[in-house]
Amino acid sequence: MERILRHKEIFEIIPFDFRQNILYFPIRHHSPACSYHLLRTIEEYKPDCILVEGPENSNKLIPVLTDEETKLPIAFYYYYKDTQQLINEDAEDYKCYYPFLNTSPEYNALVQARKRNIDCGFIDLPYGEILIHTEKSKGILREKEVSNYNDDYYLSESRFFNAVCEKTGMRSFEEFWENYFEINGLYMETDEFVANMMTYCYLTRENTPKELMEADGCLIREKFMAENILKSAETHQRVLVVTGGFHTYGLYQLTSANKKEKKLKIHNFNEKVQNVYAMIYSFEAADALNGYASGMQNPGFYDKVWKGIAEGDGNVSEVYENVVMDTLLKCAKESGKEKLLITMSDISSAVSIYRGLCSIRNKKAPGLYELYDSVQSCFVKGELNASSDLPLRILSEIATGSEIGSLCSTAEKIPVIQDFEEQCRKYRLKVDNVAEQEIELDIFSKPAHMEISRLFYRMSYLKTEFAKRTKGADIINNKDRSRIRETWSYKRTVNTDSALIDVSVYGAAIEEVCRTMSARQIKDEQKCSDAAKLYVECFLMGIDISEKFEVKLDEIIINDGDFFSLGKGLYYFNMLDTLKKMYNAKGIVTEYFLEKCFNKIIIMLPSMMDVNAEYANECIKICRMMYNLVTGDVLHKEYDTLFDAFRLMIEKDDPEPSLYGAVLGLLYGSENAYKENIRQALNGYLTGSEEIKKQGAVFLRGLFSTARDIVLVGNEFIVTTNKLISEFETEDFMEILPELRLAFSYFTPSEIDSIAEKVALLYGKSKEEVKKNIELYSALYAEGIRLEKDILKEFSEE
Amino acid sequence: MENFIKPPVEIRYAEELEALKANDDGRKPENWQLSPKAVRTFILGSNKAIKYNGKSIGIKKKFFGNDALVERCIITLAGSRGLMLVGEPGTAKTMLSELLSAAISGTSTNTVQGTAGTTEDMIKYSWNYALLLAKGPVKEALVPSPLYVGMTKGIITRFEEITRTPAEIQDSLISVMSDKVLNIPELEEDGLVFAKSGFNIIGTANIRDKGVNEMSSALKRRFNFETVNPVKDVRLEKQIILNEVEQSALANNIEMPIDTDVAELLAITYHELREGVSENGMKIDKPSAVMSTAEAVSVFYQTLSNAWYYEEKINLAELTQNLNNAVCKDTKDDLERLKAYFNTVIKFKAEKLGGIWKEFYDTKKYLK
Repeated sequence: MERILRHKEIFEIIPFDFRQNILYFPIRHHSPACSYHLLRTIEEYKPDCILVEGPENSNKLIPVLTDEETKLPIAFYYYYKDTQQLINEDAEDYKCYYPFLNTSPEYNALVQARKRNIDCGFIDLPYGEILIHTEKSKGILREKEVSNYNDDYYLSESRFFNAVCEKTGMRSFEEFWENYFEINGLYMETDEFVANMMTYCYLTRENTPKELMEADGCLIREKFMAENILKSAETHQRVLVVTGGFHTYGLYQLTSANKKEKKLKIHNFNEKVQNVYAMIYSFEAADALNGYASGMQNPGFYDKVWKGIAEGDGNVSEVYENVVMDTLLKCAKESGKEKLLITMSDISSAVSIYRGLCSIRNKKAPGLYELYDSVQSCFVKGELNASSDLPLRILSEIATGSEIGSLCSTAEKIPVIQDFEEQCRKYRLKVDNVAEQEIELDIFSKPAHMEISRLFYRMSYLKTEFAKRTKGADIINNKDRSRIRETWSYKRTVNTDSALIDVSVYGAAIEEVCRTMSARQIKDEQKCSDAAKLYVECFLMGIDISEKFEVKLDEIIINDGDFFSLGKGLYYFNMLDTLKKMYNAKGIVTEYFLEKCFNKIIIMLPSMMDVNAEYANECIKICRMMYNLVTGDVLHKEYDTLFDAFRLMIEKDDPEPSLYGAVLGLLYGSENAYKENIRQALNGYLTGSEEIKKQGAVFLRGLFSTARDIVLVGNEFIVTTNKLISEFETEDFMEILPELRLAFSYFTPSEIDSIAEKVALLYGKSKEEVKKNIELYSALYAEGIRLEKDILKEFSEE
Repeated sequence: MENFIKPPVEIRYAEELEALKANDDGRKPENWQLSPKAVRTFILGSNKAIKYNGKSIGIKKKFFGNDALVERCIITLAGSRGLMLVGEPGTAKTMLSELLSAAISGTSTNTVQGTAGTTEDMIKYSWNYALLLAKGPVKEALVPSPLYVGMTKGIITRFEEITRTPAEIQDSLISVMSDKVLNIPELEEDGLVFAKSGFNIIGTANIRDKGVNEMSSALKRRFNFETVNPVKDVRLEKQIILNEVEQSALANNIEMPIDTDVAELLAITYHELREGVSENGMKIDKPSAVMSTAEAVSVFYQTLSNAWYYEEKINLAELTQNLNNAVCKDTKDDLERLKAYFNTVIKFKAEKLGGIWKEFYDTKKYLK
């Protein structure tokens, strides 16, 4: 590697000569070594203009970025709405981040420009323009890294890189980079470092096909950047150009060619179509490991390296050794908090390991990879696996870092984010840390808790990934409805802010945004189920419902001809009705919509009797719900109408057996005389062919779901059912067994016990005797367990 | 070199070790034969040949798959802690410990073999009872154990299969590892044996194999642990099979070319059966038997030696039978799994790739 890096040719092609009008400084994003040498270069070159790679339309944010009050990490958040379909016909919205850390050379260059009061600016194409010039699935439009502006992937994905890693015996590109550029770089003179950077980046570029650079917009970006560089060079004497190393050669070629090129035309988008904001960012998000390949990984570790360089005042020889030692001690301390016993002997052994590895690997100082090796050797006791690798996970967290940045007071505040922050302050929600917080809300007794709950629901509706309800009534999915407290976990992430920025056009406050968005959403809804769900969501969010909203809802119910959608709507309105009473809420119309849905369903009900078996369960649920509604207060007046519909249903030919059973059960609930109908129906199944008999089991499932007391009263039903079951051949019995199991699952354990006792008596046995005679074959049991495991595994994989 | 079935590492690679020693200008820990860097070169190989005795000696890579692990092992042994190599059976833990011992101490044979029957005196020392009766407890009557030898000579003691030894017997190492002293009370004032520099212990242990014991936390604290995983890269596994079979063939005068296609076929087969998924994503029911690279080497060598003595060339039917014998040991289910593998994955490859895979598939009748 050293031999390759001593390659002088490219360095001679792109001179790093301080007498030049334009001086190129190649960087890798977030690299402390690049920042270190860049500052030395600025000191010596004394530029009167600094140009930095980055979308040109973010120039307005430079004062915010470089303000002393701003605490990094922050990011520029770009969005572009392709309403004019310039990218493709999908007219989608696009967004991306450009993170800045303390280690970022771009940031340090701009800070220097501010301090020296010289001109500076970003020179790349605006974000939307880059997208327009990028082919599908290439460059910034790559699916995996859609939200990442920078293009370090050139450096780490080239064929050249693979060869270099193999040749140098490094495990990864990151390890190679750390050793040859970050650590060794600190021991080099700036011109030597820049020569190495240029050589490496040039060789990477040489191994990248031109078609790829064309397809991902790289070449057109360089053309635009070159135009900007030449323009600045006309009015300045010393222009320092700070760009990703990959572009240096391309830019140098374009600017030194002395050839008049046709000026690139760019679109003039308004701020609704394309804009950029400064937003807080976190190390966690910046860490390439976490999904954004925004330059170097492990920002927490290299931030400490950078601070060490800054504090060292020119003496950088001890920086890595000190940071590695500090990080090791922190890892030991954090492991201790997790009840792992890390002794002084472990620590001292780890120190000798990383020092020894540094020597055996011919490194000038131990780095992050030696640190990982030493923790693995000395802190992990026993086999390395998921249960023993906690120290490595802790180290990884420390290396990632947990800091969140903040913006200066002069930064343009996005009103909706401001409102969010104010509410967090008001309700004392901790959002200045990346750690997830948990809060229990007593929503019925504490008004403030109700407000917090509403805020969380609003944030969830806006898809901010801010809050998640971990316990509490799940109204939408009909789970745990009896819970009166809610437990939420919440965490402010980068996505929280970006999602709020995305919706900021809909209002200045979160409540207003939710109201506007829900009003827009209801306009597009066509199904009663979706519209009613939105109604529930609005209730949970504490959003007032407008008259327009209700008119639209009414219209949707009238036009919806889908039985199941109306059934779901009925569930939501019923739920809202209960909640309204519970919360003593005013201004929510539920009875009207309940009745409206109910009446539409009643008309369709008889025709559902021959419904496809897979929808029968849903149908039964709706029938039961309607039964509960008419036997309660809300729709009592509709009692006769519903039972007339049920009667019509059982007269239909060829009914779906489970629905038939369920409806008969409901009728039996209102009138005992229907017991005879049930007996006849069961006998019908009993005397039919084998196939009809099998339907008997399905019939039972439906029947038990609505009238299980029929089994518990007297013996007659048990005798008939027993006859049905005992007449099956083994093979047929096995076939209907799942249905039967499902049917009996409607009974409580004590009811099952009582049924079992009655069945045992039919055979002249007591229930104790039945229990005693259970014989279990170990092989069969083992096979069952294995099967269950396999099935569960298969499900979890799906 | 005399003809041994499996010559020890220091004999097998004597020339490489001598060449490295003669050219080694790195700093050596006390009593080490080579510097840590030279030990690394010995195990991980070098692109550059070394001039020695007028010859150019190439240093071959001997351990594949995880260079960083080897480096950590070397540095651990230069420190005060022992080295414990853990992992599934057949992942070359023993080979690595032999290579390390041979390069560091010049011998890989100072070894305690752990079994369920290992006793404390096998680890520390025992007595020649005839001499003990004749002369009483004197040094002359003491039978030194490999641990004793390691301490007195300042060399590495290898403790194979340490977890097969009962936990209370394993714990007899604790004081030796902490204080670097072995107490022999019978010898009274001469009874303290202090470890010389260069002494250390390399343990190997199967964590998940049948019949292994737990290791106490106190003992664990005296070791740095390194987990040796099966080789994930099929290319490397093929290379290991080729290297090992070549070495064994050489030692046993089998002068037959090693068929690289067969090595590749075997590497892929073992890799797929171990991982439970084929190259093209088909799911495979994994056999319960250990599908280690060492087993693959053994299957290939068996087939090669059969070909050398009885046939002209490698016979795939013989290979399949050896594979059958290696896989189907513990349970009948493994035979069914192997058959299923042939009927799905190998059949697919036979149809798609033909050639050796077709020949291999045609031997499925030998799976019994």
